[in-house]
Amino acid sequence: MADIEKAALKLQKSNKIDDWESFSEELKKSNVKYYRVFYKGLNKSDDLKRSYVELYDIKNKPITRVPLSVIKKNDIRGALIYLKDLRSVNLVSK
Amino acid sequence: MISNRVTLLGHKDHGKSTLIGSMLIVTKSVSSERLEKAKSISSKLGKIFEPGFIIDSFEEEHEGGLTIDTSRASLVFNGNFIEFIDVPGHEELIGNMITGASYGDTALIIISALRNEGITEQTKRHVLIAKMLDIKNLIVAVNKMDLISYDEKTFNKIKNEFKTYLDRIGWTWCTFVPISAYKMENLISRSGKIPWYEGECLITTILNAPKSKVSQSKKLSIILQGNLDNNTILGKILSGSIHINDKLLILPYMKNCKIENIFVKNKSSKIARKGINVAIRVNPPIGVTRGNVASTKNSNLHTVKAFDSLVFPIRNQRGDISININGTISKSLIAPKALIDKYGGLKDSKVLKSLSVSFATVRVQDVVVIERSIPELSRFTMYDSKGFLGIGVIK
Amino acid sequence: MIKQNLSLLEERSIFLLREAVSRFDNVAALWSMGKDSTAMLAVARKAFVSKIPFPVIHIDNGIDFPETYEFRDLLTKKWKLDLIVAESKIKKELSGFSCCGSNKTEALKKIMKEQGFNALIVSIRRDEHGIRSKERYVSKRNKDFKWDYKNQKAELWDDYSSKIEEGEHARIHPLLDWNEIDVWNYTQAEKIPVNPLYFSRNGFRYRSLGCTHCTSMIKSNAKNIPQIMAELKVSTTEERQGRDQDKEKDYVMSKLRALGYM
Repeated sequence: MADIEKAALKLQKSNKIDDWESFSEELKKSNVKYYRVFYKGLNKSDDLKRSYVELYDIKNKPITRVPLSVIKKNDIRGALIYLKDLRSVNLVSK
Repeated sequence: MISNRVTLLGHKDHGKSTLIGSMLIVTKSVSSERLEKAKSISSKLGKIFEPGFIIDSFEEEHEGGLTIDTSRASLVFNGNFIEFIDVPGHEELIGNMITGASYGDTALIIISALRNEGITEQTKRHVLIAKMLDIKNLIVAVNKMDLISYDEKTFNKIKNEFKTYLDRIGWTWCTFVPISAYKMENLISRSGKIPWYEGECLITTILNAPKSKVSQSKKLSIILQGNLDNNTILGKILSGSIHINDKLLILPYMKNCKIENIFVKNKSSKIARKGINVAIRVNPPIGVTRGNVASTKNSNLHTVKAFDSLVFPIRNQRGDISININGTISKSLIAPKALIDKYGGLKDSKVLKSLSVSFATVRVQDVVVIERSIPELSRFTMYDSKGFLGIGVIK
Repeated sequence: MIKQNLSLLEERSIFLLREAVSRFDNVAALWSMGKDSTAMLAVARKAFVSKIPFPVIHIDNGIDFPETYEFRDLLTKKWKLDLIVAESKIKKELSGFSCCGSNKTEALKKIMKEQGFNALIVSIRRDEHGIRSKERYVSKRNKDFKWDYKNQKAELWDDYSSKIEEGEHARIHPLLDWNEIDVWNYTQAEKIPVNPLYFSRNGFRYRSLGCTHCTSMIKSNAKNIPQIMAELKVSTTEERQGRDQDKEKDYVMSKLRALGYM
């Protein structure tokens, strides 16, 4: 399994700020190029926990997935800032 | 593309919103979404579709059938860009009406041809306000001609009656056009239903209106807004031009300084002209505030504490008055001398009358800078304890 | 859509920005990294000879596009902006309406109270939507951020003297007279950096930007500004098509604005 996949799995288990920061480091070294966000309704803040982001390489091949959220001081927030080097995969809209 | 801004004035029931809606439709200037949305709203409210619904976007406007604030609608016709500004006609909303009216280059006043409608107090008042706001062109659209079978005699009667009033209050350019906004007659082409009318259709009349001349004053005047830093002042040149090394006089302090550098946007410039916002580095450094004016010794802009003016209050006065003239806010006393009556003549009066125009002497507590040849320095707004009271023009 | 004279528009906006700074002692600007607020900052750099004298606020709910975060950080550095990130929480009810409405407004209220801002520069344009066409260049918001659109005071002759009491603030709209095509025209003429989401990839692009949850793409092949402008000239669909919240109710925008959401 590639390093980036291992890092993503870790993040799926624990998505606190520190975990996202370690993931960011791995992301820089990886071949991930695109992202796509999958929302699970987003009708309750719990849904934010269940939503995720799929990551793709330059050929649009799915590599792994990460949570959408980060836990910051007991609050759940969006974590998309950690993916700021990536570009939207722009498939046909949801 | 030349811009024509037309303020629509007149009584609320005489068809202004309908006219804009119809103009948008006949010039194909409304998107299909907007048209569909307006149609669905009118059917939801159980009403027959009315072109005026296209521009009314407020809830109250849809449900009450009233225009509350100004709306704007733009159209393009044969390469010309026309922007309509629709203002509320209702007396209570006169503050909004004045705001909207002040944006226009041409005033288009609508008068209903129906016998029980016709020239109203509001019609006359609107035209007086337009004159105070220094709008130069007036077009009178006599509307609802379809409801009087496009009768020539009625049109002429209204035209003659109104022209008498306009002459008395001093309109120099005005023209009368018969139309039906609802039936879309004589809007963008001459109407077969009005064979006796020899003038142009409405849109041609609008496009033919002479473009108003901007102030040609050669005096230098810069309205100052504040300091960027100790050495640099910010302002907008209203008239004249400046060059590096010119000497400036800062009013009303009467302080002198010299221009070391001029910045137009981000770049240093040797010269700057009327209409441009500038940053000027001066020596010695001077602190300025909003309301100050930069000029030259020779320009002779007036620093005064009293002047004559026309004033228009939108309601009865409550408490002490202060005026805002070019950003200087000063307590003031207003002493009326005469007011303009409903026939357009002058009547002696020592009292300010709500919704009437009066000649008055205005005295201010703080020195203000005025200049009759420059619009921004010859007009003011009035306030009292209740808020906005009205407008004034220096004579 | 008709192109207006950019020079006149720019001069007017410069004047309004300088008015804001001269009349209010604690000014801030909202920045969404969209084309309008970014163009406004470009005008502000001209108004103040490259030293923007107010901070810019990003109301961040955490689920903005990654491209937007990158754009924000790059431009903040390039233009030496004083950036304040106001974090908004994503709350329980999240239909298209309240997601971007109430939670962003709360974060804004908090930061304004903390910092004591009494004036906020917001880059709305009159042509964007029906209700915004009633806005003034300067308009007052009360303590609850509500806009009393029925009782706006008269505004004319550059007299923007609303009395602002404690807890209230003024909204300044320097781009009110600009339309969509003018913003693009200016962006191109001034070589202002553009958020890449506006440009087409795989046959789609974003015409107006919200966060990742509420914004949808439109079909388009416009890959650069001239192509976007060409599209706009023939476009009859309103700009906000693609942002879900507008499809909900006929008068929803009236309510949103009255609540303080821009």
